[in-house]
Amino acid sequence: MTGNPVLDELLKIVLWGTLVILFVSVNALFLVWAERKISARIQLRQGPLHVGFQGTLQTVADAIKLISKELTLPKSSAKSLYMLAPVLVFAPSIAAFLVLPFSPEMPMRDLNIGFLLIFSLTNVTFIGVFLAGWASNSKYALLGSMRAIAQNISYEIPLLLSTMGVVLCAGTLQMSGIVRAQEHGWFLFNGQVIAFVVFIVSALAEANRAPFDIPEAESELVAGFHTEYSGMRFALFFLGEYTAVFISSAVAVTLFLGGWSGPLLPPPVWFLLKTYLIVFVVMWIRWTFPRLRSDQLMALAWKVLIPFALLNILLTALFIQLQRSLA
Amino acid sequence: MSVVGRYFKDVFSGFWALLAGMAVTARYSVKPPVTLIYPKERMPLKHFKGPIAFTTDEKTGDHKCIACNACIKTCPSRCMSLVAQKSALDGKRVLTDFKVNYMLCSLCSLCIDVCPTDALKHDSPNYDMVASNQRDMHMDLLKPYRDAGTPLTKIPVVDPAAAAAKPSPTKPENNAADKPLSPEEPKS
Repeated sequence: MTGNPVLDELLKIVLWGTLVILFVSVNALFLVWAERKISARIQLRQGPLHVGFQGTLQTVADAIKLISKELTLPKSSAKSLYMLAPVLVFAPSIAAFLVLPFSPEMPMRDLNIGFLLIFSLTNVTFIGVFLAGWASNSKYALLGSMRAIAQNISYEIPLLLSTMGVVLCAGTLQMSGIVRAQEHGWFLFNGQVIAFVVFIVSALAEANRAPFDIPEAESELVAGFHTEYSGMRFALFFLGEYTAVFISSAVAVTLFLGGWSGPLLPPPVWFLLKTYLIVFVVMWIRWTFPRLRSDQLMALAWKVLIPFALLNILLTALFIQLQRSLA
Repeated sequence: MSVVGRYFKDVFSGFWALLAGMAVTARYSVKPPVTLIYPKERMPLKHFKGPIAFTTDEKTGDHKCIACNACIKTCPSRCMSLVAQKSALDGKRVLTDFKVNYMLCSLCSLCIDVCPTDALKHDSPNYDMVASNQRDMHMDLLKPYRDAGTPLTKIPVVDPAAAAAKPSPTKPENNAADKPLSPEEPKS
C-alpha cells in the first residue's frame, strides 16, 4: 500500500479485477467439466476421461483450441455491433461480483441496493444477446435472440417478485444485511419455500438454461443467438453463460440459504459450497427435463410463477404484520 | 371441483411430477456407467467368428499344424495356402509357411471342422481388424510363433534348392496366399 488514497484505490481495483477474471475463467472451466461429467453419469456414460485425471484438463484443452481459432466476421454483419455483443454479455457478469458476499469482509462494495444492482447488471446481458442476434444477420441468430428477449422479460417479473418476500423479512436490499438477517434460520426454512422454487425456476430461464433453453434450441436454431460467432467471441458467450449460472446460484444462496454462515469452515468456503450445490441442482434439472415449447414457457411464467410469487409476498406481509401486532 | 382448486391441483401435481423425474435421474446417476473405454477395454464376443488363427497347444506353447493340407483342399474360397518342407533331422514334413487371404475368406469354418489336430480356430477377440491395403489382409498365421521362437519353428529344414535337385516326395507346395492356387492341386 502506497499511502496515496487514489493509488491505493487503483491498486485495489486492478487486484480485485484480476482476481475476479481469474475466478470467472477457472469457474467456467470447472463448471463445463462438471456439467459434462454429471450429464454423463445421468446417461450411464463416462464423460471426458483422457486429458488429465478423469478428463479434468479437457476443458482447458478446449479453451486453448477456442483461443487459437480464427475469429470469423460474417460479410453482411453489422461489424461494430457484432464485436460489441460478446463484451456486453460477458462484462456485466464480471461486474456482478462487485457485491457478491463471499464472506463478511469480502463484498468488494457492500452497497445498500446490493442485489438490485446484480439484477440491473445482468439485464444488460439481454441487450448483448439481442445485439448478437441482430448484428449477425442470420435468421437463426435473430430468431434465437428474439426468443431470448421475450423469455427474459417475462421471467424478470417472477424473479424479482420472488425476492420481495426475502426483502420484506430482512428489511434491507444490502447483500450482507440479508445474510445477517438469517443468523437465526435460513429464509428457505422460514416460510420462503415457494419464493425459493419460483426464484430457481426463473433464474434457470434468465440464464437460458435447459429446460428453458429455447433461445439456443439446438434442434431448431443451430445455436441460437451465437450461431455466427467463433473462437474467443464464442468463448465469451460461453463464459458469460456459466458465470450467469454461478451468479444466480450465489444470489439464491445469499437470499435463501444463509450466505456465508455455517459451522467450522471459514465463510467463503461455506458460500462456495452452497453455491456449487445449487449449481449442481441446476445441472441436474438440465439433464432431467425436456425443453419447453414457447407458449408453455410463457404460460408457466404468467399463469404459475407470477401468481405464486404474488401469493408469497401477500402471505409474508400478512405474517410480518401479524407478528408485529402481536408483539 | 372449482376452477381455483383444479389450478392448485394441476400446479402441485405438475411439481410433484418434476420431483419424480429428478428422482429417476438421481437413481441413474449412481448406477455404474455402461460405456466401454474401447481401446483399453475390449468386449468379449460370444457369437462372433473372427479371422482364422492357429490354436496354441497349452503344454508346448506351439501350434498343432501337421501340414496335412486338409484345410487347403476343403476351402471353398481357396484363401489358404501352406508351405511344408522336409526336416533335416528325420525327414518329416515341417510347416514353414501358412497364409490366409482374409479378403477371400468367407468364415465358413470348414477348415476348422476338417482339421485332424484341431489346429485352427476363429480368433473371435480380434473383431476390429483393419488394413489400409489389400496386402495387409494376407495373414501370416505362423508369425506369432516364429516371433516367440517356439520349438516347431526352429526345426532345421532341408534347403529347398537341394531338395528340388534330388527327387523328393515332400517338395514344397508353393502357394503364396496372394497367388492363385496352382492347377496341379486339384480340388475334390
